[in-house]
Amino acid sequence: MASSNLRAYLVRLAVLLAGLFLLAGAGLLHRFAQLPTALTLLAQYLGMVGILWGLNAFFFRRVPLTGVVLFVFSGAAFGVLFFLGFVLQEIVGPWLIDSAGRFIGLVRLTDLIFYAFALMTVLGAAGCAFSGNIIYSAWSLLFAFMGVAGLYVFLGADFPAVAQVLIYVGGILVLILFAIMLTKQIGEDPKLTNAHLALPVGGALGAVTVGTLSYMAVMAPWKVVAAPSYQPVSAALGVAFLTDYLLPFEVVSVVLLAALVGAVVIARKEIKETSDQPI
Amino acid sequence: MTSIGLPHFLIVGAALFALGMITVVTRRNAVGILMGVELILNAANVNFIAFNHYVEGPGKVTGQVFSIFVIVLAAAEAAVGLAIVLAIYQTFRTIDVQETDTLRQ
Amino acid sequence: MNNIHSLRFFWPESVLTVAVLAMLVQDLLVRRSPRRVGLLTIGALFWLALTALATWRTPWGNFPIFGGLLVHDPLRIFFAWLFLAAALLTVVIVPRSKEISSARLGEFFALLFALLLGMYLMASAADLLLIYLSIETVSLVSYVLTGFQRGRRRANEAALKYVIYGGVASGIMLYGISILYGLFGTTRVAGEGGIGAQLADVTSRLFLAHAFGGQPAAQLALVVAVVFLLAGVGYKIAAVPFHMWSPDVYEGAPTPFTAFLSVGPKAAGFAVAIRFFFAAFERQLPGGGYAQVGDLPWPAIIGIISAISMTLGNLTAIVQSNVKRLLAYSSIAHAGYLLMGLAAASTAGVQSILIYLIIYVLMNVGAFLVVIAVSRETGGEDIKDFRGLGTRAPIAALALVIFLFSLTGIPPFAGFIGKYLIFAAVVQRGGFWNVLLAVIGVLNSAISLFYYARLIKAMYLEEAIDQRPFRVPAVYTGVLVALAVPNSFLIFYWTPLVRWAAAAFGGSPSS
Repeated sequence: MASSNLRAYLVRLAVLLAGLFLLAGAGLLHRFAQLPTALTLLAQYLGMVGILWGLNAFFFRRVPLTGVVLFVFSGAAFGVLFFLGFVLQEIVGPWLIDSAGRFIGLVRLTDLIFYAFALMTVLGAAGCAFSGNIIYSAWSLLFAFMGVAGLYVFLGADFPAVAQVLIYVGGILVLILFAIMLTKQIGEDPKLTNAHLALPVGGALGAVTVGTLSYMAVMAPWKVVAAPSYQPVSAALGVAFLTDYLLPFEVVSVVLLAALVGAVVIARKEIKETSDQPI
Repeated sequence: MTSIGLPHFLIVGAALFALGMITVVTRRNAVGILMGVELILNAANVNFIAFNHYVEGPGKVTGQVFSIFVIVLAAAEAAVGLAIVLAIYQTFRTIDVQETDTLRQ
Repeated sequence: MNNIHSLRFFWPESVLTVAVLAMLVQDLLVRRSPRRVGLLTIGALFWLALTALATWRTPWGNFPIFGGLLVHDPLRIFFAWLFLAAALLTVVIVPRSKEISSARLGEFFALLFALLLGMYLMASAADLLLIYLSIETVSLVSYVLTGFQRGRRRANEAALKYVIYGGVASGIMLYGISILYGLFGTTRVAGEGGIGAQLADVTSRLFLAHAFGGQPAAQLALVVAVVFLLAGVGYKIAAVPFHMWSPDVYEGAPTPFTAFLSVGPKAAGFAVAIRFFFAAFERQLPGGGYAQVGDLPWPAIIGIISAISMTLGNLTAIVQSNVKRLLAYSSIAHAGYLLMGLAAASTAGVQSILIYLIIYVLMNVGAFLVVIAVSRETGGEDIKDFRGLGTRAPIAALALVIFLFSLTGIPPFAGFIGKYLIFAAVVQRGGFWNVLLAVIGVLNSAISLFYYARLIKAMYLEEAIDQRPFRVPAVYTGVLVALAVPNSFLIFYWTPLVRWAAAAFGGSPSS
């Protein structure tokens, strides 16, 4: 029993490796020995089938890939890979390599830092949006908040960056984690109440939103100033709060008082009625 | 060409906004939805500070003032919202928005 | 005008701020007193009276205050009186309803004053920051007051839905505001250098004129910004598609607060919408009329929202069995009628909104008051609980009939005046689409008669299980009569309303 099981695994592994060789070999033959394109694609597709079938022994074993499903699925996977390769070669490649053929890459350190923060933010947000476990979502929110704080620093906004870390990370996120822990026993399956009901719909909505807003961001004629400054702004902010924005500053204190009273009113236990007699 | 400018920040803002919207529409857990709202608020704040830096120019702080108010109000809203979530958990033992359905007939 | 000098015009808000603190302190002082309900009510009435006095004594004028963050004008004072009326009715109703426990009455009043403060600010905000801040103030306090009855499933649930929808709506609005800020480099709506001034002044900003005339991306950005901003406002006035919270919240919130919620924040939302659109996208002509600036088709956007709101609200109301939900959907439909006046984009349109809002306060609070009286006795708010009300509580039943007919807009009652003026303003504007909008409005009024009549039929033609007459508190009877009389007889003498609305909006151009 055990030995036949082992043999099945080995067969799968062998097919997986063969598939990999086929995929890479066909690509190399096409590049250096002028193998016809159609033949290359066919060989690579077969390699893909082999890889997927081999992988199926180790991952997603509850969904066995057999027969037509295997071939259709491999076709789709191959299509995705092909598209990715195409994009890398045709779009990103020329962008990274200058006219003389040298690899220039992301030469500027500042740009690299920006991309790091932007990636951290977006990946954190994506984790929050797509993670099946609410606790992982909350933790990815941490990365999103920290990334946003980094972007603020990048924009010369020192005070908002600090406020972001103190209030969002130190306050709101801790509050959220408390709420999760108090409302959910860690042991029980946290995915139950967290099903992705309308993920395709939500994803489509998100894609449309991000498309529209990005188009707007790139194309709209923003009146960009010539030389943005990187001076510290805390002093200017303090002055603004006590002169031009004194009124909202005071109003927000009333709002905070109301929120405080409100949170207490809602969360505390019902007190005993001292007197229920109408006058 | 590859230098960072206003559109880069706006695209990050747009991505945050879209991901926040996705969180809001796909989650059923009330705390999860509130997290999506925080993402949306952060998206707006990135926009505010980016515009402050690139559009309104040196010496002006309107966008940053706005972002500070947003952070403060987000904290207040989170406090009230999570107080309600706790209160509802004590009466329902669930915070699944779909299940809190005594109101729908 | 700078901060110190502006304080002269800021007395009502200052009094309200003190009132919030005073109610909390008084609540502590009278905590053990057996007469605390009476004392707290008297305290709340005192502060309301003081606010009214301050509002009345505020000098007339039309100029920006606090460096342009707020604007002091007749429109602001008009809405202040409207809010005060709604708050007064709530303060009078609350102590006798069984829904707010006497132990928490002080906190209720304190939060109500904070809400009133937020609404006052909404009515005078002339800066995107103040618009956001005041809307958020009103929302935060509303969440708390909706979930005020601790331990009741419906209340908690309603508060949860309110927080979620409210948070999303205000987030979307904020994103829209950020785009506006990026386009114009300022958050000021009215006044010098504001959005309206930049759009109107073609010569000084050729850039903008070029951008908004020709560039599709700039057009798109402006439309997206305005639509997003409408999410926040539309949520406050409960217009489709931002209405989803309202039936649940109206049903789950304590009914006296529901009555306030259906008139106060809705009116405040209209104040923001009127001020924003007319300051940013319209230019006042020397004759008092308005002309559009920029190419943004905002009346069309509002018109579409209006048509969908009233149709959806009315059609959904037909199938409701709970009266509070029915009134919630009716209130969505009324948001649609009111938006119609805004879609007319004219002085007459706005004046008709103002008049309709006054009448709406009178009839909607009245209808909710009857619901409170009935649920106080029967413990339910379903249509079946209203059976036989005509014999059990004749005055309340008759008053409800008047309010319902008024809500429908049937001629002898006050609601007819409001609807007539709105439809007239839209038709006067002319064009196929405006006339179509008016026709949709008239058809919707006819549909609304169905479900209002169902309630009236239950009251007079259906037998109640429990036939005993029940006692409506004397205060309630008094308020009901006080609300029913203007609803019935306003039609004979409504020139003061018109004069008042004309004074509030569209008088001589600001100097």
